[in-house]
Amino acid sequence: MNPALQGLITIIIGVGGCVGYFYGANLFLDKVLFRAEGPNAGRNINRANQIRPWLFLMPALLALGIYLAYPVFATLRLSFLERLPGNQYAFVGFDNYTQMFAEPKFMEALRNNVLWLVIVPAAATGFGLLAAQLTDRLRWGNIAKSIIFMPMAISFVGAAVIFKLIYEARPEDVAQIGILNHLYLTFGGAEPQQWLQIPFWNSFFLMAVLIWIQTGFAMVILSAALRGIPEETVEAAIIDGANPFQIFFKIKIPQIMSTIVVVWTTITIATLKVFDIVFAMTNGQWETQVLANYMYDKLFRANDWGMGSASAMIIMLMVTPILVWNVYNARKEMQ
Amino acid sequence: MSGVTLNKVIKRYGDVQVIHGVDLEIADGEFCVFVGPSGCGKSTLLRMVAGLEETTEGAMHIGDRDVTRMDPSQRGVAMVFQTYALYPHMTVKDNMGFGLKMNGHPKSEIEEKVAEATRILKLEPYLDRKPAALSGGQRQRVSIGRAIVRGPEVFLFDEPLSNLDAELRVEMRVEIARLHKEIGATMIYVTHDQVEAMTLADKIVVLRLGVIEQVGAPMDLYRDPDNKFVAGFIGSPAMNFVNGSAKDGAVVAPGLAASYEGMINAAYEGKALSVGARPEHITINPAGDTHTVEMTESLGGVSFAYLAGATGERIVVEERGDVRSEEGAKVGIEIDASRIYLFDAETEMRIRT
Repeated sequence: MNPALQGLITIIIGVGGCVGYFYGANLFLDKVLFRAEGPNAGRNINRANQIRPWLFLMPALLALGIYLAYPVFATLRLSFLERLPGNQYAFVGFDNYTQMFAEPKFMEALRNNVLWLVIVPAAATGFGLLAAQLTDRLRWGNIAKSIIFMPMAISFVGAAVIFKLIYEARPEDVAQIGILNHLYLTFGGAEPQQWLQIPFWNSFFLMAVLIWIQTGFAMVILSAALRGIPEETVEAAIIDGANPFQIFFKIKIPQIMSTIVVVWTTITIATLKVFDIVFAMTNGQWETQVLANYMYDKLFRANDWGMGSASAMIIMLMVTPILVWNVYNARKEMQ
Repeated sequence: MSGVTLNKVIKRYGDVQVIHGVDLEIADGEFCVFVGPSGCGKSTLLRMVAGLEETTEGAMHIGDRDVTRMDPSQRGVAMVFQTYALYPHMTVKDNMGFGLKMNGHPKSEIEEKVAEATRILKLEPYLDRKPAALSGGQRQRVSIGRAIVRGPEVFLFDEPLSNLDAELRVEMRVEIARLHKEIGATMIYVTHDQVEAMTLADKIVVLRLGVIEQVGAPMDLYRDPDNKFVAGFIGSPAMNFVNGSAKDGAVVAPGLAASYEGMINAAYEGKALSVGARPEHITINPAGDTHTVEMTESLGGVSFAYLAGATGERIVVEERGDVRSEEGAKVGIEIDASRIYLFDAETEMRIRT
């Protein structure tokens, strides 16, 4: 069968199934289980209304349970086990963890991740805020915003490919197709550089990709927040004698602080999970390893399920507190 | 000293002119109120004085200083906004001290001035609260306090009471009047509420479509309006207008079922007039039968009777006392001829005799 046709049928079955479930289940509840008529009509309506939310939430809860909650516990279990030949498992306690922490590559990944964690959200939020403020009153501001936002539509792998071309190095006697080397040579660089192979700094070249993508996201959210600031507070500050910088830092920023926190933590979580960019550009070589890529290496290349799961648990441990804080702030902002 | 003088002030947005050459003089210590219907440019004019809107043409002086092109913070003005415009992330104390802090005043001086404003406005219990924890009236007080702390030459109020409920509005109105007495600074106050205008002002400026219609003390505008617009705008309920004409030296007003001798000179012979009479100056004569009572609104102390005359023109009459007319009744009306205002129907200008 034609794959397009297959896709179409899948969509029809999927969407139809969902609609059918919600419609049918609702109908069953109202017309069969608790009928809204007869002597107990009032009681039945109340009961039906108590059951209805659960009925509608069930598919989502089930899917989340199977694909999210269960894997967490399964991974936790695996991280304490060692695989033996013949599909056998042995409980090894914290051995996977101690072994992992002793490994230089893991420590390098951990160190890099912390570096990513500090720099990417700060830079993306900062640039986003700058872009939001600077484009706010411009006639062509919306066009500028669209362009800055566009990288959001590019997948991480796609962006990685684009930046690989930017960092591309050709031999000295050949024309440079990588724009960074071209600029470097134009402005007096001696020879083309292999940017992605310069330890320590190459991590920053990788971070640039994620910052490039996330700045658009930060800008869009912060731009909306900036517009939400009551104009009168700014005017009052003008009359009070505040200069544009004081207005920005003392009047505007404090009023959108909660949004900044939400944007910051959201980008932090995206950063903690970073995998595709490193995978596609350096695959963790030249000291650019990060936790997610390390986990992938262990789990699917070395087939070491124990250590792979252990590193996954470390990532989760790092994400959870930030996630909790993010949700807490997002809720606070909604009120 | 620190009066405000506007000289042929014009405001344009692109090609659209919204303020058409306003001349105005506000004396030092005067309480001046801009009134007018929405869209008349009263807020724009105030914001031009504040410096928040650029003055396209003309000159503006505060005291002896030409402030036309000055930054808002240098003009020596403070503004109170309709929406309070408090900084939500600062405490009441910091809100009030912000202006002085921005201008680099020493901490002790800020403390002192904030304490002084706090005392005047009785805000002591709220100093460490954030604006979100205050009621509307308290927020507006803080906003006024913030203006006081800056010690401006001119206070600007942009509909400061519009966001408050009716009871608080009366309370704050009295408070603002007291404040003006206590501080004695020049104040410019924008409102669309004529009660606020009448009660607060030393001088009322009536604006329409970016032009000053009349300037004067509240009672002068009430007693002696220059044109039909001011006559209709000042006074509540509004002045009644009926069509009339000048015939044989007398004013004939069929809507009032009356004619008035010797009120108009011969030049107007045969011309269309607009005849105005305030509801409070008309009395109902139960014995007459020229008008029909269509509806009455009773407010207790007074009631308003809506009458229709033979011409179909409606007039409102204020009634006091124990006997009030009933709906559907046939009545006559009586007006003292000295209470009649005549306007040219075409130019809407007052015809004074």
